[in-house]
Amino acid sequence: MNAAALQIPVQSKPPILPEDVILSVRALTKHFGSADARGLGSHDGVIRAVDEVSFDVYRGKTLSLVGESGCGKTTTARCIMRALQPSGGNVWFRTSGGLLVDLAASTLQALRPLRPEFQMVFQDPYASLNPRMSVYEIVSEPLVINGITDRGQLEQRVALLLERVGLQRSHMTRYPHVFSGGQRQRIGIARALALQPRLIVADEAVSALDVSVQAQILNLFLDLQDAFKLSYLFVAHDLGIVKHVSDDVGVMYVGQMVELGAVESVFSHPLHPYTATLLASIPKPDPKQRQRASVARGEVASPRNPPSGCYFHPRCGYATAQCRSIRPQWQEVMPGRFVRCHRAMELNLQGVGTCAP
Amino acid sequence: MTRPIPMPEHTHLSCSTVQPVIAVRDLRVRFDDDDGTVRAVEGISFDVLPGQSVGIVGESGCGKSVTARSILRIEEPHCRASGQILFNSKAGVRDLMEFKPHSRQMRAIRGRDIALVFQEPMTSFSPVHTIGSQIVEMIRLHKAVSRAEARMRALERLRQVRTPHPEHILDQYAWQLSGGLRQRAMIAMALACDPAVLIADEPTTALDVTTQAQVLELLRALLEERQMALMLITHDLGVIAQTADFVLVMYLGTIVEQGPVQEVFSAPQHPYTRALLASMPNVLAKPRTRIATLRGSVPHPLNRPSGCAFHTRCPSAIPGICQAVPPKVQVVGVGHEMACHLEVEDDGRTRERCSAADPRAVETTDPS
Repeated sequence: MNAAALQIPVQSKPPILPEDVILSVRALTKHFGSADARGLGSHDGVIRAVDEVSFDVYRGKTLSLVGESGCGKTTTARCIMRALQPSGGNVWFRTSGGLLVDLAASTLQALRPLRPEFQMVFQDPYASLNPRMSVYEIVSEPLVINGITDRGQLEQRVALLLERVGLQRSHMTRYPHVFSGGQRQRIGIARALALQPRLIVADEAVSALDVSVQAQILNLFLDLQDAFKLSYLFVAHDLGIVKHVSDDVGVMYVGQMVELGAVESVFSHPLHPYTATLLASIPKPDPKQRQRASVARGEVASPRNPPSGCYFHPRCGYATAQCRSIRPQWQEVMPGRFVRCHRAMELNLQGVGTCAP
Repeated sequence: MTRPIPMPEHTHLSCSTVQPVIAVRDLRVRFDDDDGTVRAVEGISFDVLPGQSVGIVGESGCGKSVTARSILRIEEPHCRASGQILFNSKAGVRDLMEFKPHSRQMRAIRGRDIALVFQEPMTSFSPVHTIGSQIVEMIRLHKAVSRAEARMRALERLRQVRTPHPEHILDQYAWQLSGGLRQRAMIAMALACDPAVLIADEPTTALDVTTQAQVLELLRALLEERQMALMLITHDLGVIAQTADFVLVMYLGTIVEQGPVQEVFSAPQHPYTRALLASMPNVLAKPRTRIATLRGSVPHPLNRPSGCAFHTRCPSAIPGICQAVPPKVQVVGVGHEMACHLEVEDDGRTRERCSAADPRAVETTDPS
């Protein structure tokens, strides 16, 4: 480790935010390869995995980050959880005491007492549960770490949690291998709920599941949100899932947020051509509507060597000379609607659904 | 030479007079394991017509990949397969089940007459040989052509799958290509010997949605250009709706419903098909709406339920019947049939006992 990597940014002054904002991410940036790769010589550039991403998550609401592989949505989630040290920006989290704390600037030590308030549910229920721990041990571990040691009390809490996620008390003594994928994901959710968090970060939490089980787990997420006023940050690539669970959606492309807004309005009236492309690419479950022509050109750009100007311009059907040379600014074009596109206001893009913006 | 086998009379399913290129009859595949016998495929029959795309859809463990592999006789150890796989080619009609998996005949058919595209092209291409050398090897295995001729042919195929800079791709290694390009190269390789049937096992599952749209469009265009048949295996009903002409819905080794894709999507008859369609997350949904669900999850194939395998999760199960008697196949429309005990009305609609699409369908988990 070199000195630069260990440097902790100074806690800046908390911004003034509406009371119901639980998480406010401002210009979050994560670069890979700048310091660590120097010794290896083979890596020449910095990968801007997350590039000045900003969004707010409201209490009891869900914001989803969508985008294709390599767009930085998972890295954003991991920076917020501080599984990764952000390279820049702020992650303001409102604690249960009402204080705003910058998770990006806190030391890991200082974060420990706050950890119960933000928890994570992982993608792969086969890899995220220790096969040598019983369900009781898995779900009670966060409680034990946070000082609850009375066996009777622990068993009571674990039993309640299991029942809450649709499992049974008797499952406590079993090991993960006897459970199906959907049941394992329920165990992972019970573990995340154990410390009564206020924010849950779910990284592709249903993508590994079969469609009938996926629907059960999505419904469980919605039920738990209603019951506990939870806030969710969902990372997903399936826009259908996003539509079912989200209030707001942020669309990412090559490390940048390109569009942000209420899910209904973004899906029915996309302002960024990439959002429109994503929506048009979803295979519609109706054989009478076979789409053609709407297929996007080319492939996702590499964050190692992004295009000039707007990162999407090589694939964009509306690109102009300006798009090829000048990087568009992140701007609020309507209240709550943000977009990073030079031509956002002049284009009339096709979305899905017909709700008013 | 193999003795000629007459192609079977069309099942009542086929609404066309075209001879099927593949006719599967009562295919059964079992795996013997220390814990017991897994009945992976339980007596399925279907036809694949030239120029047609047949989609096989189902959740994990329903036997869709095993079906595809059985057609190519790619068998794992301890596997017992029975039934008929009738393959109609210039050489006449042959039952592939009569050939040994490693036989000369089978190896000649694999890749040349029936080609397979896998889900993850990274693991199906060798990382130490260039794309070009792998396609050339494949062509020269099946055709007596020179290396230079084979290379020309490989180049032509890469062009046909719309790869940019095909000359360049020929000399690249699989790991130097993006996922979408790798999958195109894989399809080019599968097409190298002009197969009569292309089997694609989850060809777009590992791809991003914009790339998936490109690959699906390519497959559709290839079907139109050549009189090839496509068997598309996927868990994604959207992919089926966009690509297939005919669809087979599988559950625990059986075909529960099959029919023309428009029929099955607009008037699904089997409770499982209805539930699958209802549980699909939809971009047109209102935000924060619950999705209709089935209870439980697919049982392990070792614990295959008795009677109708779906009865443990079926919202319309008839007590005393469904758990005891395997359902018979009923015709519900032109080329449309399902295996279910529910009565079919005169208009071809299943009598609704309780709708599988009921969003309040009980959601519980059964202990494994």
